[in-house]
Amino acid sequence: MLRSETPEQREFRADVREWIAGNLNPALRFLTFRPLPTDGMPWYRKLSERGWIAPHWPVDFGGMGATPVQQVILWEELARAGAPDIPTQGLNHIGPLLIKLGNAEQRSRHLPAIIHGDAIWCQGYSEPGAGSDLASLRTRAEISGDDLIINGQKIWTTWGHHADWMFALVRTGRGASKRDGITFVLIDMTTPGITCRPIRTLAFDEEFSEVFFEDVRVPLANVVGEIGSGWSIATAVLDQERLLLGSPAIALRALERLRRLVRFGKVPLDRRLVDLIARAEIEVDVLTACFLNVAEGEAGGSGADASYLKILATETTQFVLDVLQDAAGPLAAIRSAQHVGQERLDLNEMFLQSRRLTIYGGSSEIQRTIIANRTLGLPR
Amino acid sequence: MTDDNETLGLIGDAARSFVRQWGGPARVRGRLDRSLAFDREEWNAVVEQGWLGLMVPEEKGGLGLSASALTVLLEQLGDGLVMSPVLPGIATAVLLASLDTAPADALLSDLMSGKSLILAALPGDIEAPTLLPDAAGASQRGWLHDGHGADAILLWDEETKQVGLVHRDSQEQATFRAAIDGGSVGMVTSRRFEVRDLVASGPAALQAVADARDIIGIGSAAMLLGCARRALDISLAYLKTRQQFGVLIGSFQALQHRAASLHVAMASSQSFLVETSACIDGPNRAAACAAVRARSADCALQIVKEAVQFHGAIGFADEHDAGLYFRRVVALASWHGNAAQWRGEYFSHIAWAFTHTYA
Repeated sequence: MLRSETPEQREFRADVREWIAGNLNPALRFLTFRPLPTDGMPWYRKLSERGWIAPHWPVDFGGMGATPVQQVILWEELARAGAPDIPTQGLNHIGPLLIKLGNAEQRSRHLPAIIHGDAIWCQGYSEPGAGSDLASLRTRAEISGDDLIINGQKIWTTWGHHADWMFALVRTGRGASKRDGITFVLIDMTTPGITCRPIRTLAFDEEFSEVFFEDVRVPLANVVGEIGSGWSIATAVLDQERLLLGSPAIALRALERLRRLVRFGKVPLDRRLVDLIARAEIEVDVLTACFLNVAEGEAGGSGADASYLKILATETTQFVLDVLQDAAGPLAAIRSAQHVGQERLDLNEMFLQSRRLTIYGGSSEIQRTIIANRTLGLPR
Repeated sequence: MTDDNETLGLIGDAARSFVRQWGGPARVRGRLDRSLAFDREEWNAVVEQGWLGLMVPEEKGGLGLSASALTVLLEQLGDGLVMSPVLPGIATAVLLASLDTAPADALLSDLMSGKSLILAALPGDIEAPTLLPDAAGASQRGWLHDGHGADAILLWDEETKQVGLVHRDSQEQATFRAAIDGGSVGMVTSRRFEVRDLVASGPAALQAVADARDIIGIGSAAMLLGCARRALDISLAYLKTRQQFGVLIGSFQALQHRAASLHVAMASSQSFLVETSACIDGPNRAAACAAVRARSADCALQIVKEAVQFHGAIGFADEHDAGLYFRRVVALASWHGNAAQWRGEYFSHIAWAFTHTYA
């Protein structure tokens, strides 16, 4: 962060740095993949015990109520220490949504479980025929007594096969618009009739899955909002989601990998590479500045325009990883992490994984169309 | 330190009202026909605004404002195509104020009162083709953009670590070439200073020169973004009115997505400008100023190139204003080095991250 830190912020950074050094299992540092729940969740729970698992949540719900600068400091220090990637669907998506729109029973049942790392969540939005055109979704839910009976299929479900709960959009009816008749529902993944099949990606990881529903009974009490109001529920927290998708957290991790490859791999810095590295550093500075300005604007109630952040964050991350690939030269294609002494160096795993960033959560093309029509007012 | 919103609002209002009288496409067109034209009347109007003392401490007669005021002012002047050397003047005033010697204070007073136009030709580790005449045996060289109207020029001598004055009557030491935007590119060289021309020396002088270069960096970033913002607005308006194939061309997805990319570049650069202007009093000052300058130059160049392309053939016609913003951005993007050269400077401030292992 280029911004000057206040004495309190410096102290917070020192606290974070010291605490991570004392609590992060060295075996988890600079992993090139997201560790499985058995390995990764203990770290999640440690962060939770320290009170830092949900920096952006209000204190009343077990969050930290952190300022945007404190969030950036946390991300910078976690990236610097090579802390592993933790599951975020609960923390960044359903948690904030339930805080805003869930009923008392839903909040008290689910929010503490997210904070304590007792429940892993997945998102059931995309379907084989409903990707960018999400409102075309066809997974059916019929009301039967006090239950919904769900039939259909979800796909590209991040960590579906590790999840305890899914928040999903299902079709309960038809209306004038495709967006009518959609219902937002919370589904216990242990319910009979649910089958998961992991999907291997081009990065060799099983980050996603297909989820099949066959006569799956879900209590009506698990519906968030009203039957048929699912689209407005899902989009109500869109700005907050865009802000988190636009956070510099992932770009900072990518940048740290680039720095480490250059440093430990003794990459010769010719003029061309110095220029590329300087651009990578500057782009992450820019992203951090944009996140801070938008987040501080929202905190101040000025409703800053977050529409561009997702594009900026994901394309910045990809650019940094392009530079990392460039710096690796003829070693760029080596499949596994390489070691210099104790240091684990990533040549291309994050690069391969980062292909998905500009596709999920609204592809860059969808984001650009939204900007063109809504922000710039270009004709449809 | 940042200035309060009321002050920034007043600065912005004053700049817009100045532009109405002294800026705009028509005035620039007039200048383009007169090579190396300098408008003393316009300069006197700049002096009257008090802008030269914008960042000069109040005890030295300035306004004592911060970099946020600087960027608000220069975004407006960039938008309005104002060609007077306001930024070189402000940077020179900052240099003179921080030199803090009796001769420097006297020159500062002359500059701020309009008695004499004194501008600093700033050094920089910038490689350039050897096309401009170098004074034989010159031991110092500095760059000065849009400064052809200067009565006297301040120069840094790397060998003797001195700041001295080069008088414009010794013309052979300063070379100015007319630039494509109606401004100028200047290189100033000199041999040793006469004692009577010495303004300051030593490490403090070196720091003051670096401080002035930072102001040029962030200030030109603001001008670049102000100018490119206008070019983008003109282009968006055109996309919403021009029809081809019976529809508005702004409805074509190919153009929509490119326009959206420009919005991302502009919105993020403007955010970065706000952030870096708040870094000016901190330890990352030099890195921040170089970074924002490099980012803004790339962004502005991308925007004005697309602005011409969006307009089709009329975009490359001289009668259309798109070309004025295009040429101004191209010129500003070369001030004291191009984006890559400013990135090189930025890298020198962050290189530790690539050579040192963390504790």
